[in-house]
Amino acid sequence: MTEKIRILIVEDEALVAEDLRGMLLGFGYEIPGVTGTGEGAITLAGETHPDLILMDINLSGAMDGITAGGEIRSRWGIPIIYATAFITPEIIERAKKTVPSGYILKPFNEQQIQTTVEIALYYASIERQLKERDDTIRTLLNATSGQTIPPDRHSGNRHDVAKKDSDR
Amino acid sequence: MTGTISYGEELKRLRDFLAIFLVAAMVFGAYDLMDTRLNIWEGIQNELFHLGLTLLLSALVAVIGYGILMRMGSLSAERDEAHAERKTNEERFRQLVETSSDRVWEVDKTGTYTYVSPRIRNLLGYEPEEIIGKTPFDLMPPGESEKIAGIFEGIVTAQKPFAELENINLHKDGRRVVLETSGVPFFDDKHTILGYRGIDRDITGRKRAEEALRASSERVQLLLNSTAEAIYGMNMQGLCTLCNAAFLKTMGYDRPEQILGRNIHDLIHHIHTGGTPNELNDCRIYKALLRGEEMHADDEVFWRSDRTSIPVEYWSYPMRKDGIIVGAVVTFFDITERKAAKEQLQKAVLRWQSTFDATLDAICLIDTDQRIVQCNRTMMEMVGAKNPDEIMGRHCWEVVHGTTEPIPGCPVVRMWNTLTRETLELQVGDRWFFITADPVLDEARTLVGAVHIVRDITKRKVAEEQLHTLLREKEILLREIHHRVRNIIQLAVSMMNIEVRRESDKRVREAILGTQIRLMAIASTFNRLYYSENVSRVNLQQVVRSIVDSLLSAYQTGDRTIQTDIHIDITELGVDLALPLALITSELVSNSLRHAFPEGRSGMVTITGSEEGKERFIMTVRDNGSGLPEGINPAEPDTTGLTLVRFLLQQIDGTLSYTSSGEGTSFTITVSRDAESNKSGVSEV
Repeated sequence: MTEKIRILIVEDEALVAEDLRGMLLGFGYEIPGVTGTGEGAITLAGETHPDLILMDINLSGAMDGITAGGEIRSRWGIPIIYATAFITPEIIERAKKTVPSGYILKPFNEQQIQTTVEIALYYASIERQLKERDDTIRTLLNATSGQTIPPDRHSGNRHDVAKKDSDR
Repeated sequence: MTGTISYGEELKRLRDFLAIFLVAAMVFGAYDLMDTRLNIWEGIQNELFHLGLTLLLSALVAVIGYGILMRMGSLSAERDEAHAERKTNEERFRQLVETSSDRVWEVDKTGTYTYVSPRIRNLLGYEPEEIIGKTPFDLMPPGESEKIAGIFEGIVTAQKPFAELENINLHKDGRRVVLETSGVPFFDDKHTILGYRGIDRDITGRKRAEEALRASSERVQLLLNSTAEAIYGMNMQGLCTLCNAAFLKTMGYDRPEQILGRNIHDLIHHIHTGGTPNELNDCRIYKALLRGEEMHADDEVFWRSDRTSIPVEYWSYPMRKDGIIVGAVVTFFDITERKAAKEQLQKAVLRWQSTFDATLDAICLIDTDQRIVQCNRTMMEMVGAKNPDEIMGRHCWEVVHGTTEPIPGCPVVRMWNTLTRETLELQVGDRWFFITADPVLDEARTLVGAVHIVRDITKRKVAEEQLHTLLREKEILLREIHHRVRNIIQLAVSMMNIEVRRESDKRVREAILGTQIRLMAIASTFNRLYYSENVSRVNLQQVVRSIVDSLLSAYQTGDRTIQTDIHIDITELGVDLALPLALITSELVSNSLRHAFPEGRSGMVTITGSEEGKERFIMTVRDNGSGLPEGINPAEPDTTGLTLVRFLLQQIDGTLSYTSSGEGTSFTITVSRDAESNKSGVSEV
């Protein structure tokens, strides 16, 4: 597969966006688009289906990065790395629900971006492989015994998390 | 005296009268006859005249003579009467003497009995005949006879009567008899003393009674003196009849004689407490005495001998004799101390009540049934009661909460079990109350009630709320500032990155990279500020960790492994001290990473920080690399990094020392805590 990995940049500070673009291009990625709003991010994600989105949380406009990220993640399952200058427990809680692939604290340097992006992409590929394997197993199971319901490896944990969140 | 005049006697008197008349007429007639012979005419005339004169004179003489006779006759009658009377008296006297309980006696001048009345039998058991010829002294016991004989001799010599001479005699059966003897001397015609006559009276019984009475009064006096109460008695005239030792002591007298017989009211009760006179007629004791009533008072004063007054409590009891009030007995105490104690107590109660009422907390005391027994003014105002009666005796929950049973979480109910203070913060409408319940325990540590305090803490709550809001706002503002700082640093870093990508000169790229690292160090400090409890102070350990991680990711190139050990044990620092220290550390570590381990050499960078007493703290940055190259002197640096370090040290009044060899390089920074306190005013946002 020779196709380049594409990373969508969502950053309302133009110079920072440009810096990120330069970095990521320098690492050999492709940038299908740059936007400064949450709404723009959803639109671009739907149009371009990037492999990864680098998402600033504090965006200009009504929608912030986490809302947009959650939307994108639930619609298309695209992995997202959040970048923000400000971090609070409340923000982390909100971000956690969208199952982000990484978190970068501003100011960042090139190495941090590179490391975080690479790790996120690696996890994404592992997840993809797991999912493919699950599908294979399910197919196999379905073929052998229609009575067995395969366990969902996340369901228990998710339930717990959801319960805790609802308590807050 | 005038005997009965009989008819015979009248005739006799008339005969006496006529005889006198005739004798007188003859005498006067004979004289006249001799005279008339001298002149006839004149004789006739004179005869007639003289006849008449004779008759007249005779009659006169007869009257006078009769008068004399009559007088003589009556005298003789008187004599007869006196004689008879004497005889009667003698008889009467004899009977008296014989029957008198007293013994009548007569002695001659030698003291020898010449007569003794028969009563001697009863008195001394002797017959009168046994006594005659003896002297009184023969009947006395030894000692007494000599004494009385001496006295009697004196009396005889003086020839004076004597009375009530006490003398002891021996009864025939040997017992002692006390006699009281009185006597008068009797004389012959020539006033020579013949002896004494007198009486003896047995006073043994009286003596005994007197003795018993004296003993009894002594006992009474003893009793009176042994009581702590002062006691005095007075008769109907208000004169003192008795007083005891406590009276003398209390009133400042030495002897009862100073009081007895005196008007007690005038002495001790004549002036009221306020100094106005207390008239006898208004005196409550005296009025009670006149009415024969008991009375009691504790609001008056008695006056002592030194003219000072003492408050007293007294009781007055009427004294009766045969049903008639004869006086009163008054007992009293000096209640100065009791009064003082009472006043003290009243003052204390007043002070306590004032304090109780003055406090802004609503306080009530409740019994074990949780009923209010006392409450202060604030409590009344809080529940809107006009007077204490509206609250007293009611359950506290009714009064305070208006409920029919204790409210949930009621501290009084909890205190009932724990016997220690229980508290509750309670919101009622828009007001907040802090309620406490404290047990009241008796000496046996048994619960007897509780002190229930309700404090209106609405103002405090509001202030706390405002303070919390302000603090939250302050935190939000600070975080916003940090957020912006970091965003701006990001912007600067990004601009530099854009610049670096276009720059081909390696030295320029490195310079820009160095600046980026410094900016990252500043950003790390601000990042850590957020995580600290107090938004204006940071934990240096975490800041340095963050900086070193960032540096490692920037300079970790190739296969070389550089380990780091960070151990900074310094309490949280203000940002004005933390930031320069973060930058200095960043420079020193970055130097080590860039220069100490050339050609892929591995090594270790150790960073430590510790406090030296309270005054200062020390930080070291040490590596085990190749040491400083020749020509590099950190004291006079020519590199940007060390120059910055020098400026920053000046800023925080710190000193830098270093050692360098082939074994590695070590920098030591010493900073005074004063620098922090001086800066802290600025650092506190």
